[in-house]
Amino acid sequence: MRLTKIARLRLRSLFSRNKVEQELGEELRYHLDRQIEAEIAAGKTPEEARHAALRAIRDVEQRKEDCRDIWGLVWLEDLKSDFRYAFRQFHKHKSFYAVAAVILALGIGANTAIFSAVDGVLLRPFPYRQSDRLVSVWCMEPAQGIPKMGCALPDLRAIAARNRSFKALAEYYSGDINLTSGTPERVSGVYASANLFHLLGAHPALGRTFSPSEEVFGRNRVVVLSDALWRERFRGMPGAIGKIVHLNDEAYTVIGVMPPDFHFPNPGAMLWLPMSFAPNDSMATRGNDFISAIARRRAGVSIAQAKADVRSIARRLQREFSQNAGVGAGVSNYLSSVVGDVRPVLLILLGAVGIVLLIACVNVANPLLSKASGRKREHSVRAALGATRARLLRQLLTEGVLLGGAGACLGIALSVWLVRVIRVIGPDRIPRLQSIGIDPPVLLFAVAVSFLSVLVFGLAPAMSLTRGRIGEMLKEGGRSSTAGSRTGRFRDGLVIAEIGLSLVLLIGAGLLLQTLWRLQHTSPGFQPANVLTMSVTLPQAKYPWNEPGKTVHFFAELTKRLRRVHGVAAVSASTAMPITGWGGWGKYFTVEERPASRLSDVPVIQYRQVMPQFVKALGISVVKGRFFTPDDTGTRPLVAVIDESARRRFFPNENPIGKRVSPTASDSILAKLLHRPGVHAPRFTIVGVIGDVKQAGLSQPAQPALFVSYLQTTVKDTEAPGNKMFLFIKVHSDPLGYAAVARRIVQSIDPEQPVADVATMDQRLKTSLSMQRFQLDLFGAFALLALILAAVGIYGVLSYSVRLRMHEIGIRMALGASASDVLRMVIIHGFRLGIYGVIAGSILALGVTRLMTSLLFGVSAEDGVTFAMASLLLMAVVAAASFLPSLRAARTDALTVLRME
Amino acid sequence: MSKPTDLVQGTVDLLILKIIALEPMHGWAIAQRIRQMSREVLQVGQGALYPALHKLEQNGWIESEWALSENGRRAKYYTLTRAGKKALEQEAAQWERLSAAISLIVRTT
Repeated sequence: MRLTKIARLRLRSLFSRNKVEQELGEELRYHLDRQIEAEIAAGKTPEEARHAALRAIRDVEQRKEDCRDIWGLVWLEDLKSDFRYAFRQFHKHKSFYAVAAVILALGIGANTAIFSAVDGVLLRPFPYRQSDRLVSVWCMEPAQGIPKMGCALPDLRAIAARNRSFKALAEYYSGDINLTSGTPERVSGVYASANLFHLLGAHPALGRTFSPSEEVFGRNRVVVLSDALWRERFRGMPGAIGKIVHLNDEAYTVIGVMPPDFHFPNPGAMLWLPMSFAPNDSMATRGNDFISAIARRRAGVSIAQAKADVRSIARRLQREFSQNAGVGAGVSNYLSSVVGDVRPVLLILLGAVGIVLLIACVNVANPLLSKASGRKREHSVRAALGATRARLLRQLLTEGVLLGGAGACLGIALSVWLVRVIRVIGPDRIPRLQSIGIDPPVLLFAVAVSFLSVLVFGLAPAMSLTRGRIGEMLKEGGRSSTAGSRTGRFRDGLVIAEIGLSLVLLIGAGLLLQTLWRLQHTSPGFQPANVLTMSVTLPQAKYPWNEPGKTVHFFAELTKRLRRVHGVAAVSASTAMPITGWGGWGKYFTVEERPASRLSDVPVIQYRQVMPQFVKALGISVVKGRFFTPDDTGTRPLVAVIDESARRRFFPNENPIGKRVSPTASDSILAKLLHRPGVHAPRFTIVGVIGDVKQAGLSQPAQPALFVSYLQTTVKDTEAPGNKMFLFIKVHSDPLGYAAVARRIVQSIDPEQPVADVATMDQRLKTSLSMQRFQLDLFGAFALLALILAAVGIYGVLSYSVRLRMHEIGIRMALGASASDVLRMVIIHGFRLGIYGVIAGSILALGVTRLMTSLLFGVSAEDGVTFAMASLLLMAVVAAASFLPSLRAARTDALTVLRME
Repeated sequence: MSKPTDLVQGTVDLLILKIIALEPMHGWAIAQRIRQMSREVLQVGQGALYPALHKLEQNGWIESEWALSENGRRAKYYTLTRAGKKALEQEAAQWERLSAAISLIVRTT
C-alpha cells in the first residue's frame, strides 16, 4: 500500500513534471501571500511588507530547487557525490584499497579460471548439430562386474533396427594405424559407420565423407583426414583429395578433410576410415563387445525413454541369443558420458575456490567495517542531521561497487593467466581442457561473482553500521574508550567464519595430500625403475590373424635382438600395459574340474599373452612355481600362470599348480553355442603364481588375471596372438637412452614398422597420478591462499582492536598491569577467535569433506589425524598473526596514551 | 555554526510529524504552529519546511491534498499516514535518547 503510493509519487514527479512544478509554485506562493498578510496585520506598511515579500520571492526559486531535489531526480546528484566521496576515500587510503582490490582479484580470478574449466569441460555443448540430443549407447555385464563396455556389432545393428527412440545410430571404434607413406608413424584412427558424419551434422572442409557402399569389405579403402594430419602430410594442399596414403600397409584414397574444429571422438583422432569387416571376421560377431555407439534422439524422446527402449531390446537379445546371456545395454547423455568421470573433481574444485572467494570477501569486509566504524561519529552526526539510512547505505555500497569493479578487472586479467596454467598442469585425462578460455559465459560468471562479492563484503558493514540507533551510535562512537561492542562482535564473527572456512580447505587439502601420499606408497606390483616401454602394432595386412606364426616370430626376433644390446638386463612383451589400463581383455575362465553348466555362471578373467622374462623385466615376484621360459613354445604342452588375485578367487584352499584350465566357457556350453558337439577347448596347465600387478591404476584393485605364453599362441584353437604388443626393456641405467636403439632394431626387422608410446615405467606411474596431483596442486593452492588471507584477517582485526583499546590498555597499565598481562590479553583474544573458528570449521568440514569421498584413497573423509593436523596448523598461524598486535599493545606507554586522549 | 533558531533537518521532520498528527494542516500553518508552540523560540523558514514536507511525502509518511483554506484560497493540506504515525513514535523516542545523550556530553565537558 505504502510502497505503491510512494512509487506513484515518484513516477508522477518524473513524468508529470509540469503539473508537479505548477503545484509547487502555487504552494509556495500561498505561503508568501499569507506571510505578507501576516506582516501587514502585524502593523507593517504594505510597502514594507511588499519589500519583505520581494526578498522572500528571491528565495522562492531556491526553495523550488530544494523541493525538486527531494522528488527523486536527486539520486543522480547523490550518485555523483557518492562517487566523488568514494574516490576521495580511495585516494586517501591508497595502499589499503590496493590490497583490498588485490585480495578480491585473487578470489575472483581463481573462481573465473576454475569456472572456465567447468564451463569448457562439463557444460559447453559439443559443436555438433543439436548436440543435446546426442546419446551414447553402451553395453554392460553386471554379473561379471562390468558396468560399462562396448557392444558387439550385431547387437548394435539390432538396436539400430528395433528402437523407436533414435533418428539414427552410428557405430565407431578407435584403432592404432601405421601410416607408412613417408616416415612410418603410428596415428590414432577411428573406424566409423558411414552415417556418423551425417548424424553429427558435420561436413568436410574438403571433399566428401563415406558413402554407405564403402562399408562393404573390399570397397573400404578410403580415408577422411583430420585438419592436423592434412596440414602435416599434405601441407594443407587441396590436391590431397584423390591421393593415396598407405595405412597398415594397404593403399587408401583420401576422399575428404574435416574442418579444424572436428575432433570426434577426441582430439587425438587423426583420420576416419569406414567400419568394414570381412564376411568371416570373428570380430564382427556376438560376444566381441568393443564397438562404441552414438545416437541422435528423436524429438520428444527423453533419455529415460530411450534407455528403457534400449534395455528392453537388450533383454530380448538375451533370450534370442545364448551368447548374449547377462549382456545389458544402456543409454546416457553423450556429453556426460565423455566428461562424467571428471565432473566430481571439477565441481569440488569449484566449491573450494568459492570458499576462497568467501574468505577474500570477509577479508575485505572486515577492514571496511573497521574503517566505517572509525567514521562512526561522522555517520551519526550525519544521520542526526537527516541523512537517511538508505543514503548512508548507498554511499557505503558505492564504495563497495567501485572496489568490486577494480577487483573484477584485476581478477579477470589474472584468470587469463590462471587458465593458461590450468591448461599446462591439467592432466590429459580431462577431456576438452585444452579448449578452455575466458569467453562470454565465463566473463558473465566473473561479473556475477564480483557482484555477489560486493554484496557480501559491502553490505555487511553497511548493515551493521546503519542498524544501530543514532543515539546509541553517538554514545558508542563518542570518546569511547573501548571498541564498540556490537561491531566488535560482528568483526570477531567474521574472523571466526574466515578461520572456519580456511580450516575446511586445509582439511580438504590434507585429505588429498594423504591420498596422493598413500597412492605413491602403494605398491604397483612391479619395480618401475629403469624400465623403458613402448608399443608396436603390426598391421593385419602384413601379419594376418590366420597366420599367427608371422606375428609371433616378429616379436620373438625383436626381443631376442633387444636382449643382445649392451646394458639391457631383460626384455619382454605383453598384450597389456600395467597401470595405464591399456590393452588386455577379459575372457571366460573354466577350471577343468568344475565346469559351469550355464554361460551366465562362467566367470571372466583378465587374459594376457606375455613373452618370457616378463617377471624379470618388471621385477614381479613369483609366488609359486615358475614363469614362462623361451622353451614354452607351440611344440610344448600349453602352460599358464595366474596372479595372486586369481589364486585367491579360484583356488582359495588348494594348490593351483598342475590344475588344467581354459580361457573359454566349458566344453558343454561351447558345444551348444557353436553347434559343434564334442568340441574340446585347449587346456592350459598352471605352472606358476605371480604377484598382483595393478593394471588400471594405483587406486584400482588388481583383478584376477591369467597369463599365457605368447610363444604358444600359434597352437591350433588357442586365441590368436595380439598384434599390438607392449615392450618392456629393463636396463641398468638411463632407460630413455635406449629408445633410439629399440626403434632402430624394430626397423631392422621391418623398415616400415613404427613404434609408439615410448615412456619409462616411472613416467607411466607418475602420469597415472596426474589427476590426483592436479587436484592436490589446485586444492593446496586454494588452502594456502585461504590460510594467508585468514592470517591477514586475524592480524587486521587484532591490531585494529588494539588501536581502539589503547585508552583502556593505558589505564590498565597505569593501574599496574604488566606488559605480559597485556600481551596475554591480546593473544587470548586471538586464540579465542581461533578456537571458535576451528570448532565451527570442523563441524562444517564434517559435512563437506564427505562430498570428496570419491577423490580419496586410503583415507576416510572424516580422518581424525587430518582434522587435528589442520587445526593445529591453523592455530599456529593464528598465534603468529596475534603476536605482532599483542606486542604493539604490550609496548603501550600508559602516560602517552592517556595524555593523547 | 548555524543560527540558534535554525533547526537541524532531522528535527524538523519530527516537529512536522508531531504537529500534523493533531490535525491536517498546510505548510504556512505548520510553520506558524511550530513558532507558537515553541513560544517563539523555534522558527522554521520556507527553506527547511517545504523540502522536509516533500521528503516526508516521498517517504510515504504523510499525504497531501488540495483543499480550501481558512482564507478561501486553495492550499495543500498534509495528513499523517499510518506509516507516518509509526515513524513519529520512533523518531520521538530516538529524539529523547539523543537529547539525553547530548545533554550528558554537554554537562560533563
